[in-house]
Amino acid sequence: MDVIDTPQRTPKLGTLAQAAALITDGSTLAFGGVHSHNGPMALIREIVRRGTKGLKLIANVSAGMPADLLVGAGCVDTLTVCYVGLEHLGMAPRYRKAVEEKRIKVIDGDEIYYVLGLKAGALGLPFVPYPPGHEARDNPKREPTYQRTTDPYTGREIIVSPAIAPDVAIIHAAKCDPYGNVVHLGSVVGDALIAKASRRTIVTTEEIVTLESIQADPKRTSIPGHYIDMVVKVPYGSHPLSCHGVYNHDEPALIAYRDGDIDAYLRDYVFGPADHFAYLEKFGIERLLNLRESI
Amino acid sequence: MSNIKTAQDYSVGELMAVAIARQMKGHDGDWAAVGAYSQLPAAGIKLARILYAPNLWWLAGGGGAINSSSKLQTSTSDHRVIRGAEYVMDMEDIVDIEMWRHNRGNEQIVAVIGGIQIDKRGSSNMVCVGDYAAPKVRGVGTVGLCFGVSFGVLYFFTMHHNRKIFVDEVDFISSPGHTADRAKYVQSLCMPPKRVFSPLGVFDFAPDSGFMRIHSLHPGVTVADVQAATGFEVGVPATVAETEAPTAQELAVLRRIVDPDGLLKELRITR
Repeated sequence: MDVIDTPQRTPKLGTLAQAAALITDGSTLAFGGVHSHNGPMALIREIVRRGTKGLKLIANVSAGMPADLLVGAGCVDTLTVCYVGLEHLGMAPRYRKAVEEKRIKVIDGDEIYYVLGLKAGALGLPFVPYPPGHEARDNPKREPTYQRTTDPYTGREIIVSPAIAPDVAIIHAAKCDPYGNVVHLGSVVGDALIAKASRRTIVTTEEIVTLESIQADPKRTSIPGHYIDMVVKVPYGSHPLSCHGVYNHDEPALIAYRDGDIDAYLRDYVFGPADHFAYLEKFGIERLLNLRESI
Repeated sequence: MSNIKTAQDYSVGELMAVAIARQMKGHDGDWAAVGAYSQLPAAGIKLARILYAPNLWWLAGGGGAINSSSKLQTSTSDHRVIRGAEYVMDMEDIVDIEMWRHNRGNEQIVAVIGGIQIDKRGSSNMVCVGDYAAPKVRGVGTVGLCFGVSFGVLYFFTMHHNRKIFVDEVDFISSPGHTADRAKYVQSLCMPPKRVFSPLGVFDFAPDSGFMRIHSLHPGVTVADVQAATGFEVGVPATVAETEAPTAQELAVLRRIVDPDGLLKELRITR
């Protein structure tokens, strides 16, 4: 026996099915990325395939297809909204319809409600106090999860919104090592924040890199591995959204999703393909490789 | 309205980007933020940083790129915006700036934002058309318009000028304009909206009433055109100025450096 035989560090590698199983019915779920970029789409499709119901979905700061697809597939009970839309491609159609038809409950937040709510969730702070001025806008008046309380230092009435501490956060990034050290090759947006605020965080990644490559340039690490509970290798895991630094968003695929019938989409792209690679084969190697563009 | 001709050699989008760039002349040394679907203000700010305001800092919202000098992109959070940037903010960084309560010296935090409705007082709505409890149209959500009470200077832009967008009173106040509540609650350092850049003209707000009025009309646009496309009575000054057409230099920089792909010409702008 080697005289310096030491215990081995445990890798956190898992599969899409194992990851999706962590998101149980009724969970509060946060997801990473922004607009048409860095959404954990393969995992979201897996959640839909499992038939997960009653999610309390915390839409990211500017959410597009990830929120729209989960709503359209009937997985969402309550949606915390900061922004849900398709940016230059217009409204998110299933979200819009579901809210107008009152099929989901909306919590009408905004950027402060979302970002500082998660910050409070990460730190165990009970709520977010607002500076004066926010009395003049309608979210704190119309959305009942905003409350008023007394600032004990000034005696003044202030607006507060709740801490947000999701059960699970799911993010997608360009690289990650087996121990959960994440490397974004572009915008981090709220990914580190939701990892800190959530009880569990799953990262899907284009590429599993070695610990040594992380150690070679530790300042590149965008989220340290102790916040990450499971790492799943999923090449093109954010398609049809972009993965910053690796490939662009697939705009024709987003437009086809927007304009198409949701049941047909679910049949052809979510329930139909046997696995993630079968999903990718529907688009083909040429189209997928042509999306690649580093920064 | 669709047959109004501006000069032949520039698009309405280019004219609006130039108008925004000229507005940024007064913001050299300030800090400007734009949100999603914001090619017009992004182009205006990029143009201004080259020609008029080299010390203007700017945030491409969503992706968080600071001082991006990339060519214009369709999505402000596209990773290609990061090329030629100086820093990439995460959400906490962004909120730190957007809620910033102090100005150092005379530095202002400037925002160029929009809405699904804008009313005569300059209040903006991103949440719903119709009754909030039973909306005709559910909007995207208030997102960064919550900072309408903390930004120093507010500008609005719209890609459409019609009675659905310019309404007498918004159905939901995402960002308050020249309202009694703003006067009551918001500190004066955070000013109400200053200008609105639309495809028909540039508008400001009368200091006494706080109601929107014409600042300048784009070439070929008449007061009657604006009134017909606006859901409230727009204030008309004694002399109606014309928005100055882009100069050859402005257009050359815009087309060769800021927007070589010609995205501004392809923007779906209606009036």
